[in-house]
Amino acid sequence: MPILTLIVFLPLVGSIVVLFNRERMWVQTVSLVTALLSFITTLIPFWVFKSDVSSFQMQELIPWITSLGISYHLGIDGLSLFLLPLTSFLTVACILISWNHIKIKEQLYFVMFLWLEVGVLGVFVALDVFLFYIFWEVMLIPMFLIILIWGSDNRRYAAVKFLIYTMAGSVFMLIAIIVMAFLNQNMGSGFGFDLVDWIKLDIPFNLQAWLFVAFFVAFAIKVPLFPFHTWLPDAHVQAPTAGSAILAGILLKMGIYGMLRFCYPLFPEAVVYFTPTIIVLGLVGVIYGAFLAFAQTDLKKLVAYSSISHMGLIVVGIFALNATGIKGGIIQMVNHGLSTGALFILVGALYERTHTRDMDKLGGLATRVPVLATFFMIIVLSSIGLPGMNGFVGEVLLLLGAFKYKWWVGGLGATTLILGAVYMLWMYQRVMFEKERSCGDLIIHDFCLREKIVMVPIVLLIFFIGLFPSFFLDKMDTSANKLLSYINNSPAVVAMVDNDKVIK
Amino acid sequence: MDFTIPDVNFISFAPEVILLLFATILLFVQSGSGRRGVCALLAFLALVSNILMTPFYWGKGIEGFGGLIIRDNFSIMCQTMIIVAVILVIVYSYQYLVFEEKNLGEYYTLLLTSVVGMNIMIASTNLMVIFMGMEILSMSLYVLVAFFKTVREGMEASIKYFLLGAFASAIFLLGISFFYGASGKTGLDAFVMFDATSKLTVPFFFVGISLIMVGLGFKIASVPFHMWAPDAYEGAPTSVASFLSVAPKIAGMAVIFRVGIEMSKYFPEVMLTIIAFMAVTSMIVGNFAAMRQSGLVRMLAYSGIAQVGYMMISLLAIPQGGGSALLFYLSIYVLMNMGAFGIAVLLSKKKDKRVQINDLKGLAGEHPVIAFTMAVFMLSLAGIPPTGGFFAKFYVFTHGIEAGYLWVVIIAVITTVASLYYYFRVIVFMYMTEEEAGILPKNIGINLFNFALIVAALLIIVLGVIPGSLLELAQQAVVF
Repeated sequence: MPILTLIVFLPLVGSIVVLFNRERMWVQTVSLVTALLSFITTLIPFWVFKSDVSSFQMQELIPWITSLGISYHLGIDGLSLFLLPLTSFLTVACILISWNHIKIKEQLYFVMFLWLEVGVLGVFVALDVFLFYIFWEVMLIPMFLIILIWGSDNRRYAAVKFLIYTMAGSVFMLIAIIVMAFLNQNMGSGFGFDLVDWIKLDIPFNLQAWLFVAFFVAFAIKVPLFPFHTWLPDAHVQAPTAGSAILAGILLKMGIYGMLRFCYPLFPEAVVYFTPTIIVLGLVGVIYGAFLAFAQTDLKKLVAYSSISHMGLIVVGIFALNATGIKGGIIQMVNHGLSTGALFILVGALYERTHTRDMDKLGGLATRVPVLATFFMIIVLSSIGLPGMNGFVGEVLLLLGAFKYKWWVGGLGATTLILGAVYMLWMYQRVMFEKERSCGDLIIHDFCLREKIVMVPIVLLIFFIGLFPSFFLDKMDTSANKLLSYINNSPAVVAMVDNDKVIK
Repeated sequence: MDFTIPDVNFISFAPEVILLLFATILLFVQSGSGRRGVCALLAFLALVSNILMTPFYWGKGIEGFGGLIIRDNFSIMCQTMIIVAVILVIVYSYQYLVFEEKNLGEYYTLLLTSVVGMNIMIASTNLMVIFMGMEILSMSLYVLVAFFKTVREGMEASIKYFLLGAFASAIFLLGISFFYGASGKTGLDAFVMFDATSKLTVPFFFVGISLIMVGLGFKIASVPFHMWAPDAYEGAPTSVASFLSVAPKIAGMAVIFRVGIEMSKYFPEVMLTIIAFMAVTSMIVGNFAAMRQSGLVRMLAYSGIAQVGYMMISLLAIPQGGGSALLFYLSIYVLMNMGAFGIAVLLSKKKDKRVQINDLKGLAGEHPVIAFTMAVFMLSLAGIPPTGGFFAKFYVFTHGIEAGYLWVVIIAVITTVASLYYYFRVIVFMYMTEEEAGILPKNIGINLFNFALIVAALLIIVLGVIPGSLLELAQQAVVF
């Protein structure tokens, strides 16, 4: 039973069914059912997955374009295991929150979300790099259209900027992919694009450096790592609520995923060589993003910049080159997906009610919308890493990893805890409590049942990860150590360690 | 004096004879109401009969006229592409030329004779025969561009095209003279003679080849010989412009490929320098000029110039099998460019003035299927997966890197990113804005035209997802 194929292409099948009928009810119901089914299928791997196996699991391998050595090769490991349900879960949430709010081209809207899901799920399971690249690019078009058609006033600029930024990074990755295929021909098992074959290659360092840069920049734009982040605030602010949620919740994770999946095993020496630079960029992102978030009055922009800050910390953690940091990075991807996705949903809900995202015009909402305010509080606390919630687990692991690398890296990274708390709580206080900007007579409804249904599972998951992190961490242990072993076993690193011993 | 009857092999040019036969019949079809369908049908039958004959020629390598005509797999594949393109042109013309009742027979006659010209160009390795084919093609095109005698822009375009085209033909002919003067032959097999001993004539030979490349560069509208293209496309009837943007380019590329095979065996560096220069300048000029266009046809004209640049990358890798990349790219190009021009034809038949990109506003709202096909064509031209255009670009880049031209490929990807701007502008207009005053009637229904567009779009997607079989055909076709 090709479960991974089923997982990836189920939403595509659903999207075709959506096209049968233009009725609003049909479109919404079929999309929701598809997304729910897709969510259930992405849970299947939890039963099949063996946490002590270090190789890829549930592999599917079918020859595709044989003369170029391209195959349809899927598989998962501890790195992608959690990203699949995260993706399908957020898609369900996004479909629910846009239930009645899409006024134009509704059919296209839901089809685009389902296609987006196909692209992202494909990225997370593809083991053939050509296949990976196709999914990586395919997912651009739905996201572009979601921003373009259903975004706010300046959506055209934001959509085109998003598209061109992302493409500019990934075309160079395409060149690097082709070069890798030739390297595989010269040093390994013939012209081909299979990641499993590529990992066995021993690439000379100067070549590794170039290829690493080509791959890394594509991923860094997606993350987005400072200084490649400028597309993100525009895209987030202009995108519709569900678009922002899925962009922050899932699309940014693809960058981190790519770094771990490709840069680590393929170019270990280059990773070690570039680590200091990347860590510095990550730290700049952490602090700069936080300060920028503090300076915003637009709620969506604030969340967008906080995203840059948090993602910067994940980059620092995974490039600290130890298992703690990598595990922290993987679990923080899930955490950030949940809490930032939820934050965008809440901001969108506020905007729907008050028609503004400007903090200077919002205030005293806690009494008007108590349920919304409560959910908002929980998510804000999760985002700033309160113990007992998911954010805490991730951030502590990431910071531990960073401390292990260099004490000052950990120290600077830890400022995210303080800065994050400052701008998030300050924002919460202004929007929810300060009554002088209260909206007056405007009638504001509290959360309806549909919105509660979206938020409750997110909150439950937030506490579940926070209280039982070992359920997740145990499953990624083997994979994290495997990733690390690529770095530690590379000749250059072994030589460096030997040098250290000699000096001592 | 010995006179032997040349080895005329009728089979070798039977397809052209059939085309000419139908072309002659079409000349006698009187114009009048109701003849529209008859003319289109006759031309269609001629082309379909040609396509039906291809399986019998495939893999046999039939030769005629003592080797002047060669029907190898390469020429069969190129000819099939041209015929597919012309079939689409006929579908477009059938819908487009509703208001033009006069001279319909001539119109289709000229289409068929131009196909004959291109077939001859492709199926020969003798420069004189190639020149003859090129002239048959050009003469038909000059008239076709000016087909609307009453439209001023059309006449202007035709004169411009004619003057420049005649000039290019003359240069091509001059090139042949140099070639002949240096080698004493007009066949491309003359290269074998040149080795270290014939240093004296080599410079003349290079001059000859360069001039020949100029003539061909004009036909494929590659920079710096591209100036005529946007004006001619815009002035010509849109259905002719669609033809002009695809078919002669296939024929021209095929001839360049044949010259390239011989050159890369004996004088690789000269050929590669010329090709690399033309490729790089075409990509840069084509893409950046296309950004500034507001007319849909002009934009497509410049995009076509850029596409030629991408195709030429594959010619840099002829020894590494770049020919298959060229054939694959051309096959996809036929579908995507003809498709995009099809939308232009669809829009222009309702209006006298030239189609602007603005006219696409809100197309997705009222005509979601047509907008979808246009989106597929644009995505494919831009090279976004899972369309065939992506795989074509990928395959071309692979060959470029294999041949060691990484810098050309890097320029190619940079210009590809730049090209997103204008290809996606079309999508932006179609999907973002609501239609103000519909250019198209509310309900066009299903007709042959839509059907052709949908088939082309679906083929592009299918060839993008499973390119394997076309790839194998292309690889077989360049094994000589």
